[in-house]
Amino acid sequence: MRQTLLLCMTFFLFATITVAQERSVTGTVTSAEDGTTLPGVSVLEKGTSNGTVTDVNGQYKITVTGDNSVLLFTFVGMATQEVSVGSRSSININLETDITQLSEVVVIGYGTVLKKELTGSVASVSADEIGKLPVLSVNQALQGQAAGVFVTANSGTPGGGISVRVRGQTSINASNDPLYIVDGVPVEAGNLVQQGFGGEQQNALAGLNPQDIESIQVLKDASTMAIYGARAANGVVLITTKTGKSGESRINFNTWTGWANETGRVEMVGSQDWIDLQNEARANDGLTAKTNADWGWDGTTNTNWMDEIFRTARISEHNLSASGGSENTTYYVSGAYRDEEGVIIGSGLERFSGRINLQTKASEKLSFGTRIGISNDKNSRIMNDNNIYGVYSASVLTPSIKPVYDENGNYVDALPSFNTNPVRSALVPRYDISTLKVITNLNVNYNIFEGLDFRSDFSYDLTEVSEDLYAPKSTSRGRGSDGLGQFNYIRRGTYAIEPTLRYTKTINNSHKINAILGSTFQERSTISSRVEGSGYGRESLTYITSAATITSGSSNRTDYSFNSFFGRVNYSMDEKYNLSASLRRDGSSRFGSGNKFGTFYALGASWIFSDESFMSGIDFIDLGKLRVSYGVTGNDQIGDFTYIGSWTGSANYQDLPASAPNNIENPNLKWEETSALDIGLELSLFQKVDFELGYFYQNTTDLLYGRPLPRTTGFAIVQENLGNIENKGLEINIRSVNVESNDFLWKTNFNIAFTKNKVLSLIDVNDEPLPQGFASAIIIGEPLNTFYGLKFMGVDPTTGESIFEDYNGDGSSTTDDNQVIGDHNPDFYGGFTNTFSYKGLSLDVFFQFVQGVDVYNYSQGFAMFPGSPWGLNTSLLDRWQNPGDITDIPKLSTVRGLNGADNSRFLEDGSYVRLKNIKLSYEFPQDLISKAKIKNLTVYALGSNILTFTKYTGADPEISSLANTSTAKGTDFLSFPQAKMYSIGLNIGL
Amino acid sequence: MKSVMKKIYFLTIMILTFSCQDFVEKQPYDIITDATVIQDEESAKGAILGMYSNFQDGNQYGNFIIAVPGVLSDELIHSGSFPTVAEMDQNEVIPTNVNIRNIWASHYTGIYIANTVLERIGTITIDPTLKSQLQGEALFGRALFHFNLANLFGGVPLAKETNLDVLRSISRATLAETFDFIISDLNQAATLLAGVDHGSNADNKNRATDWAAKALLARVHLYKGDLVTAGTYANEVINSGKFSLEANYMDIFGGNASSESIFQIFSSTNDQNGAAFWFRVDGRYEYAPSTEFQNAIEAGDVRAAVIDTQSGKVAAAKYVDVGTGTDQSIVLRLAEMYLIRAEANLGAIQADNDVNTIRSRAKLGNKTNVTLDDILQERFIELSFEGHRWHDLVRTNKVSTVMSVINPLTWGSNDVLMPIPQYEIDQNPSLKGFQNPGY
Repeated sequence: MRQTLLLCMTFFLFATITVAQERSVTGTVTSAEDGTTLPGVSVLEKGTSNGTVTDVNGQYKITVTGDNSVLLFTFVGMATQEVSVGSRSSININLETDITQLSEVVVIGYGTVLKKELTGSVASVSADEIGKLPVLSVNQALQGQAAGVFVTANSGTPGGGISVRVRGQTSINASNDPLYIVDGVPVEAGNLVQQGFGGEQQNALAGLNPQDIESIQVLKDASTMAIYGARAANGVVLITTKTGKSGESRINFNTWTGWANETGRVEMVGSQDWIDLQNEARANDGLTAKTNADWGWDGTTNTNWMDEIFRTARISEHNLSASGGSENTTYYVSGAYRDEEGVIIGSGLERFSGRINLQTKASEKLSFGTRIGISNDKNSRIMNDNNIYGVYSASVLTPSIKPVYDENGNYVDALPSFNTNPVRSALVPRYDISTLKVITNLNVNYNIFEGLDFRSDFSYDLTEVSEDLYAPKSTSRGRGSDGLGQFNYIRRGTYAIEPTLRYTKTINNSHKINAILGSTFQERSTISSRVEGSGYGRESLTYITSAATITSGSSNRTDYSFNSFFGRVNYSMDEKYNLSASLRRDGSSRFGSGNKFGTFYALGASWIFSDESFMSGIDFIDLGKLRVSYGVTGNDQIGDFTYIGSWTGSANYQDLPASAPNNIENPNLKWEETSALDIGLELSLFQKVDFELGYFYQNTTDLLYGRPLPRTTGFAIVQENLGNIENKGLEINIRSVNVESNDFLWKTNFNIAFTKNKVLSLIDVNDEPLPQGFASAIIIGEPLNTFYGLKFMGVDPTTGESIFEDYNGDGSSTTDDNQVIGDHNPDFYGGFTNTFSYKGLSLDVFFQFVQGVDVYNYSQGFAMFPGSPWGLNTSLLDRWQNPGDITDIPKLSTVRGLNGADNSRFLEDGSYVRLKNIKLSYEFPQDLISKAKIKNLTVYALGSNILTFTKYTGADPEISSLANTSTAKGTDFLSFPQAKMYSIGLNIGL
Repeated sequence: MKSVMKKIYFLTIMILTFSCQDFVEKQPYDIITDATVIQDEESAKGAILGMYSNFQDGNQYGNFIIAVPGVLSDELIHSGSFPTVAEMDQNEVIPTNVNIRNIWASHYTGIYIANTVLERIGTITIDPTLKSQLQGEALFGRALFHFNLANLFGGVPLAKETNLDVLRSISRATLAETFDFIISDLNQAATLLAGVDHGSNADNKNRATDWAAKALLARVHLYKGDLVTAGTYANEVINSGKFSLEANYMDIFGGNASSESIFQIFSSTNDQNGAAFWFRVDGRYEYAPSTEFQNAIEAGDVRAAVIDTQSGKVAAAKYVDVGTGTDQSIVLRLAEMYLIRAEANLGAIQADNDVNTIRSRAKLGNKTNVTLDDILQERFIELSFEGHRWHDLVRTNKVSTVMSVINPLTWGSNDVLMPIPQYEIDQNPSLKGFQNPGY
């Protein structure tokens, strides 16, 4: 009886339990970061194959079996959460962003891959990180954010050129810019402005609003780059713009306004000092002193030209965006306006930009989307750099003894010989450069059957630049021609069609294959024209329609086409062993007929050793990965028709057109080739720290260079592929969450790269240094951008004369004693960001540093020679005057002698640490603002470039006048400094 | 499934086949490619004009070819600032002298154009008369380029084709071989250009004619030392009746096509001659007439007008248009033919007659029993600043006598030849060890 009762009770219990096991659980999944509901979150009952996905409202319903069931919530970019169901029937989940990025998806060429499965080296910068910086363009946003990516601004010109180098410089004559791909569209990266503005150039990416960017991935190693073949040797920057998410629509308005000043300036002496220094130099040379009247000084004028041209500039930006979508269609729309004055009068930039990104699922199998970004910017420029008509340059050169205006209020021709007036040069001429930029992409995706998709991208990138330039005859530049007007126009459009087949398959849950096969058709057409007129009757007539003579005019067109076939396979076993292989065959119209197509490939492998059984005891390592890759990529930026033997039609005889030889053909001309090895270790520790250590070695061969020819051939050089450059280095990347308590969060992001560059060979005749720029040279065995000149040993305290090292030991100091005196390659560089947040308050501090670059301070050098009529630098006040004086400035003299030769007295340490960005923001609490139906209200104060720690005595250690060369960077010749800015802003999200 | 597989095959093939060779063949706009530079009559004419245009270069008849023989000798002194010209004045030219290097380079570019015409003209459809004419002009040009080089450097590499591989390792020929080559080219040119009329009077002087070829042959044979042949050619040119001495000496120069001129290089305001800029005080004033030259002018000589004084400085006055560069550089003219015939007939009455023809044009008295020195003196003044003096002194072996007085400290017998440019020796292995003596 008892046994039966026990049995019945057990059975009854069982029955109850059995009945109780089948239970429905529902809930909503939201993002902890911004409270939005999350559709598409995978909800899985652990240990079973029972799962579902949250719907468009973030809600789910799942039937679980038993109270002990555990639900797993997973979503890309979010930390997976495991919850015991217990007895609950309603479980709401708040997913946190995955700090350790274990499940992060990385965009690589033609697709994405899990960070875990990546075999290569990719640096990622997120929308958050970009959004914090008040920069004009996206390449500025990369500075200090990615190990191995060295970004420098050429000058402080708004919209001016930015130099981006991924893992060092590979080329001398071909471009060193990486390949920029925006949403699959290859985008123009070069300078298209036809009027020279010295090293300042134009930033081709200024048209893309950084606020529209979701993420930037920089592909640095062969296994990720080789799929881009002949365009990839300098790295690939993949930019993805924002897309909408299904769910409620979000509207965001961001506005800020700031005040900017120059980060530094060159100090020039006042009038009395100028007269005294000039006369002292004359006295030292045995010449009689000149009176104030002889010098042209009225005895009182003391113009501080720097004060006259610099101002506090106003910068402001307004961004409005809306995003959202339904189950099948998502959208992101934005519009922005930026008004940026330059810190030098007469300069500034205005940009209007807009974007619309749409993605829609038309049917079960077909989806397509389009992304269109348009921007128009107008840049009012001033002449600068190594240019006598420049504003900053003339301000250094013009002594303070002349006033800005004369007694009638007219501009004085203050700079001797050239007759320029810095203020007039800034305000009177018109140099307006308008750029229209359109980047558009249409993608079509058709799912053929499970795992196989056909996708085709159609993209178009258009850049149209018109330069409206006029210098009236009152200015020194326009005087000789009675007013000089120019109008230049260039239109460059690139279209590309890329059909691809993509295949994904998982076999037995442990073998994962991801393959892609595709081809590229790309064609670029450039049409340009220029016209120049002179002879303008009056100052108010400023367009060429009023010019008396059309002095010159021309138009031209060049085309470039590119065709490839590529494939890649990624194989992953047990999520532990990953292999990738890619192959690409590229043909370019730039290559000679003997070498029309090139083959590029890469192999990569990675091993998640932390998942191995021998690591099972070591809990603090969440992820440990070893990776290695090797491959070959190319650089086809060698000039559109360099291989063709050509004649010009511009010779003439008897006033009839004649042809003359121009370029000797080289049918074997091909791309520059880089073979790269990458080895890395990635660790995620303690759920708090991500650590990455990488080593790379890159060998670039077949550098494009002009081999000198004996003139009996009729030509001076033949363009050939010769030359060999090596780049190697170490990269370290650390992301950590240092403190994470209830209300307080402290995160750090640190990256550093140690790099070395060396020219291994070039032309094999004599191995003589090849002079470049002012004081630079290409020397075999040294890095590019090496400085070559006399070594300054100091000033002799007895005589006040400069001492230069007698390098060749011939007993005398002459220019034959030139030696390597420095170089502009960093020993290391990187960035250091700390973010602190407490409740709604957050402080973001970003330092960027560069160590080991030398800068040739030629701006100062030019202003240290009395005897010329130019302004003089305040450092001359410390000159040697009497025997026994210990100083670095030699005795003044009107004769330059060897002091005027390239020497290391003007070579300074350009290392710096800069507080690039500091942002204090306060986010109003949800409960306060939700009453007004506002989802986000943040106010912030921001300082950018506000502190620079450097030993460099010039205006800015980062700038470079000859930045458009690969061999003479780091020469500061009258380039103007960047701006530091304080701003306040407001962000409203609805 | 079948239809799906079909779709896949189609797509894959579509992707794979479009590795299109044609797609990446692009022709540049507005660049004349090597393949098309001579493809028809018009382009062939354009190429020949390019050859003449090359003569206008500042390293040739736009300055140096007329000035260097003056600076090296006792005709001009250095009055400017270029250290490379100072070297010439002191007869201390070093192999790295940039001007010498550029003179070499400029001539070979011209030779390249001439050879391009000669190689390609057979491949196009062209009127046979025009073809002969263009070939003749190209041969004339090639000969003149080599001749000017030989006069400075001695035996030079003879460029007979455009093949890069051949030209980059070409060796020096001997002086004799060089002269033979030049003479052969000019003989052919004279034949091909027989009866050719370029059109206007000016055109016939700006471009090569058979008379230009014969006049040049006279000079070449003179320099070679073959006086008899030189005299024969000079005689033929004089007796052709095509040219006559200008009544007023200075009318030969300037922007005209003088009756006396046989071959001169074109210039205009659109295509300016820079020579004046180098000689004149309102230009660079890089060279000035030497005191020896000034002293050599006889009293009453109309040709004293070849020098004048500008701002108190003595300057050569054959090229004077600094502003618009319209002076035409004379290469060959009738007066030279008379003097060549005179030299060829030394000891005979003909010599006296010819010298006196020139002298009487210069309003000077007659000479009898003229000697070589008399002829050299006459050439000194008559052909001044036209690039003759140095060559005259060298070919008559008088250069050491004269120059050791002018530059006693720096003159050496090796200075008779210019050094082969160091750059050429560095780039062309076949020239190693073949530098001129003393360098």
